[in-house]
Amino acid sequence: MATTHSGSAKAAATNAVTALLGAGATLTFRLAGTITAPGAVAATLPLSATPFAAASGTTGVAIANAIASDSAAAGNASPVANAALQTSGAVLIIHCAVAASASDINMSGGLTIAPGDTVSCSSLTYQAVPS
Amino acid sequence: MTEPLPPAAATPSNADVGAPGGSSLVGAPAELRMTIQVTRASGVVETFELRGEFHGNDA
Repeated sequence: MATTHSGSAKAAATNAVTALLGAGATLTFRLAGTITAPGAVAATLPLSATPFAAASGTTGVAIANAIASDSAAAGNASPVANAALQTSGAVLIIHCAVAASASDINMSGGLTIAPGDTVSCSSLTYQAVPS
Repeated sequence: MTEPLPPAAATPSNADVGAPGGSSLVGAPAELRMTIQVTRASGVVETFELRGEFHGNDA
């Protein structure tokens, strides 16, 4: 049985989560791990002091404010398996598996970040409750 | 003659929330979507569209 939430409920759920990030939060790309035992960091991108704008009252989707690049990524020989949004104190708030679908078909094997690569994020959205 | 009541439905636990094939209290899983660009040492820029879905508390 499907559960459906109102737009205001979806927005409230998303905003409650993004508010936990606080100033100084970062977006990190990591190797395989969990939220309690995260994998090694391959790249760290600082979020804005207010990481996300308020979520849409219709869809519950929140769009991230400007994200700085990591101009000298730590990198790793293994491909990225997870993305995490974490506080300035390195407390992971959101952790998820990512699947790379590259614009370049040669990269379909996954996303591997080499040491020294520059990693930028031009679009980031979060939705806590899609329906 | 009175028919016996059907057994009560199982109450979902936290472990069931969002579990594949299990009960879900929130419908579809939460999503994180992003577009990233990786600039290699060679100067080549590669773009990735990433879509993450996550389930439960520790996935």
